[in-house]
Amino acid sequence: MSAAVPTIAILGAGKLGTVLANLAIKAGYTVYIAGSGSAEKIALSTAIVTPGAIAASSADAISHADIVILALPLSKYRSIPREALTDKLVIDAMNYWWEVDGRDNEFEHPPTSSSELVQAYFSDARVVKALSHMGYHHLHDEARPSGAPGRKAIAIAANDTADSSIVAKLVDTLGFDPVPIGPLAAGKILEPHQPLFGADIDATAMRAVLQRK
Amino acid sequence: MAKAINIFEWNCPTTSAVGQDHITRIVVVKLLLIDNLIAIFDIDKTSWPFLDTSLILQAGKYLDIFACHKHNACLALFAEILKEKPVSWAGKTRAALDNADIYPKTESGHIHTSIGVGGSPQSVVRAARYGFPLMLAVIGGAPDRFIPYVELYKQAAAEFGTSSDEIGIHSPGFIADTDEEAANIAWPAHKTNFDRIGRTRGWPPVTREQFDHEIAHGSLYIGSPETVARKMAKTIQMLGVNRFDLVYGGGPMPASARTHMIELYAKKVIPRVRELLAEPSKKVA
Repeated sequence: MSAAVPTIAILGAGKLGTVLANLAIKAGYTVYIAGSGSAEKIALSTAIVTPGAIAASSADAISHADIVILALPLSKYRSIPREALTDKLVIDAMNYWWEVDGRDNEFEHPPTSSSELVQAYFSDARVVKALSHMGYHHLHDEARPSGAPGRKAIAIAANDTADSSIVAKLVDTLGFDPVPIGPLAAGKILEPHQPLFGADIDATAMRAVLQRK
Repeated sequence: MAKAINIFEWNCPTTSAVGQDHITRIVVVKLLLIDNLIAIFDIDKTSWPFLDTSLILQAGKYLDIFACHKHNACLALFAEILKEKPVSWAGKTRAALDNADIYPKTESGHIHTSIGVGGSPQSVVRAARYGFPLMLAVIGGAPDRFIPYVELYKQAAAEFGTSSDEIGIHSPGFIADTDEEAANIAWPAHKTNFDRIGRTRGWPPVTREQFDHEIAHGSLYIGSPETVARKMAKTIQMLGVNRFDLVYGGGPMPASARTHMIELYAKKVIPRVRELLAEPSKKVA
């Protein structure tokens, strides 16, 4: 682990996880990627689809990481080893997507934003919501260097401003303009059926949506 | 008549899931048209409400539809069934089978069956494991994202000792006499379809700007015969696939526009794609 350049673990080796892994590798990070099973199970697909990433089990990936990105179906979050995430910065990129997750009362009528549920479960981790509102093929196609015209925005909801800054730096290096939107509760606006879900827009347009709210 | 099936595995955690409803319906229609006997929808059972019930009922007259969760077991059983020999089976996902046989048999003895994948690497590996041809379901974004999946399929098939000869791509489009006319006819239909699905999935209404961007840079093959042929040839060349399925005329659209599109596709687009691909030294711009 290094304080200067954080090591990233991505939990979820599906569509979103592989796109994020490739963006992070391109940005120069050391990236561990884990599926739901052993490292062996995803070794071949990792070598070909996300070359440069290190295939690992969830526990192993987490143990190496400074930042852990949750890119698995939301309904599976309890499958992640909870103690392993103690004190880790965890980016929640998950959404309640009932066609994948199934109908789930916890998410169907939640008392809070889904990231607050995740934070409550991983009570010793520092959960930040980001990279959840843009579709994976937009993340793949739209990443651009800082200052490039038409660069798109990624919203960040965090309870801790220092954590928000760390994630903002990551988002920027991945190819997007970071837009902090407040605490985890404010991340509700990024969820399905909310104004910024699916948002593939620049920072100015995103701030305009936030102001209208 | 040749029989072909596309099995679509969809498990999209993000906005690209627009395709599930749309493409599955198209596949059902396609199956009806070619009078297939069996279809399998290897999708999460919770997705069923998305399917157009009337189409499924119509399809049910002609098809045995297997609905199953994404499990290796499901595909393994289906691979056995396709051999058209009595099947004995025991697993966790359904009741055991003891020498069960399915009738009628097909004339050819085998129903050609592809697995559609939307971008999960493990779906690609699964298709290779059971030796199914691969169909890349690319319904949004630039198709170059799928280049590694083709390589993964080939290497996985080599490891499993199965064939990787057949790889196709499946994308939506529409053709008219000019680019402008094609986009203007397709736009309201696309918007109706996209927004209807968006209401259930929670994404905002699609804008004309997004639609035009997808035509220019993504996976909507919309335009004049020359435009669509060039875009198709470019994708076919880039991915090295040997089949292209154009899902045409999604959404409510006049029958006359669809008929004209079929004519343009057959008479102009397909010959032009073949012509463009006949010179492998030249890269299609």
